[in-house]
Amino acid sequence: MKIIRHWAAAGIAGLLLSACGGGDPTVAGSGSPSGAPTSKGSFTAVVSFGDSLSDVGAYTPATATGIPAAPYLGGKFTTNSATGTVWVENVASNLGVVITPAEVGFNGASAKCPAAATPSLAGTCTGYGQGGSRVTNPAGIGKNADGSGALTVPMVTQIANHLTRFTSFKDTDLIFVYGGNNDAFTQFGIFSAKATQIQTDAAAGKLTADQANLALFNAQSAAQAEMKLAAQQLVGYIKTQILAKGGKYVAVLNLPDSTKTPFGSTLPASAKPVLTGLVDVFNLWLRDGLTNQPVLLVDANALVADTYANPATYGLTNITTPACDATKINALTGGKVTDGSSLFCNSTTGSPLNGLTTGASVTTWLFADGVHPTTGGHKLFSDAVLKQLRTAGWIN
Amino acid sequence: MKIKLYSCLAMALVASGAQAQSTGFKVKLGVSAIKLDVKTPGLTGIGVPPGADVGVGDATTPTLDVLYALTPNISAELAIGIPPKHDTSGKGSVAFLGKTGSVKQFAPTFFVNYHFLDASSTIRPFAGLGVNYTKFFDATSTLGQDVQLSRSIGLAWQLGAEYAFDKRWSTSISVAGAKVKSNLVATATTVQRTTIDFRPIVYSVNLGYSF
Repeated sequence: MKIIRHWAAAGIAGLLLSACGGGDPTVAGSGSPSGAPTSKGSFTAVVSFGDSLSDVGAYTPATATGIPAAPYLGGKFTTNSATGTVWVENVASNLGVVITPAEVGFNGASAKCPAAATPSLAGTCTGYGQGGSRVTNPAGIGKNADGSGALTVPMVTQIANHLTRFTSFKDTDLIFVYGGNNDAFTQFGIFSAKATQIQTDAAAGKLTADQANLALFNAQSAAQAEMKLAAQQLVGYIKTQILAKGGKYVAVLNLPDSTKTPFGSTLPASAKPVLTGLVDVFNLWLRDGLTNQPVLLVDANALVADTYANPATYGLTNITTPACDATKINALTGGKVTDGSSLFCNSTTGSPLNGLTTGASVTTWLFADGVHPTTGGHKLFSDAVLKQLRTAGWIN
Repeated sequence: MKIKLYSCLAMALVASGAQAQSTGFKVKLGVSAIKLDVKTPGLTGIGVPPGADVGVGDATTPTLDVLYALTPNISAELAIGIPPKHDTSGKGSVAFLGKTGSVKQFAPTFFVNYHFLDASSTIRPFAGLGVNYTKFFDATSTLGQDVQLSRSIGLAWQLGAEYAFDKRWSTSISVAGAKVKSNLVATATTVQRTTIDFRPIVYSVNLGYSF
């Protein structure tokens, strides 16, 4: 264990704090976006690209208890119920706009824009975020090698699908881009596997301490390089596929630090800074790539960090325990879901499908499962995003 | 800078040919050993472990000095060296990285010297105070980093002694130091930064010729 170094993220806070305007051209990521609209939008759609945090129900069929028919246990990565909305839905409803899943399915079978069955809703299927999705790589988290499991349509394809269906972006679209978390988890997983092997080799005397440290350094650098690439790719899609295709009100969210989640708290102390670093690297190059671009960069990292630092201010009483009960979800899914994923977590009071931990609250507990927020957590996040949109002058 | 010096030198040579008397110019050729005692507040940046530091190695380089005697006891001196290459390395908690690259520096230094004893003395100690300008360039990195070091301007000093073989030829030894401080920004997958105080001590041996 000694050979694992603590790769802390000391510099980034200073970098972000000092970043205002053009920044120092010799220091990557020290600039800011500029040129985004300052006028109010007349929004008729919320177009959201991302992952599970912005998933408005892509995998609902997989949660059916009477497969494939209703009732469904969940469908969103939160504490599911009639009022269990995620942040994108909250923003949309605040603007008086409806947002529905762009694609719904599981195990390789899916339907695009199911809401279009009701003709008046044909324009509402602009919620592209799917649990497990990555920026570019279609092999997301939860998707099996044979194509079964989660759809995990990557963000590049989410954007392409929108252009296929709607041709271009409109001035009346409020566009959110919030992804990269699953790239961080994927790269962290690859690093962790390498680190375990390196430690095993070191313990067996196959590597000296210096060789082991160098191997760990290289493993971490490789993971960071992938995160830099993912961020730069996402920036490329924002520029060429959103801004250049008519996107006017484009809000890009950076990534929060997942080491503060219940999942993160289970990581060894030596591994946490690696994951934090991967998120920070992504955020650094996201910011760097968006310097002088006409977008609103929402510092989700800071918003979420403030929630962790001041839970009481936000009315939270528990920010460490998942509200969903893995044992109950295991039983409700007939043993198919053992990790307590909130996708299958129903919070309807009195319902036999309820998978909440006894005594848990969907409003004062922050987390539904290891990484996803409760209904209350999503409300706090959407409140923070709405505040930023107001500050930018985009909404009332 | 170099070209100017050479033309200056040529002028001096022409002048010495035209006049039998001393022009007050002296040219020294020599070798300098640059010993660094690098000090930094540590390296900061995403993914940088606590205690990570950078080391910069010593270097040796040929030097050229041009002196002009303002009075029998006071001279102005410009010292330049062929830009030497210093190896850089990981230090502290990243010492396992070993050599991480190299950087070249060009460091002209201007001194005003006081020469002790009478101008006719065989051995004359001297002491100088001046300004050093250091520009760093051609930084390489085995870690794939783009390394930038800011230029430095700082006080310089020197102590030395000169031995005169005759009216024209002399040899001298000196020890010099300067305040050389530079901000480092190394960019690859992350941006790493520090401020390096090089704290150089330069030991020189020279052969001088007076015009």
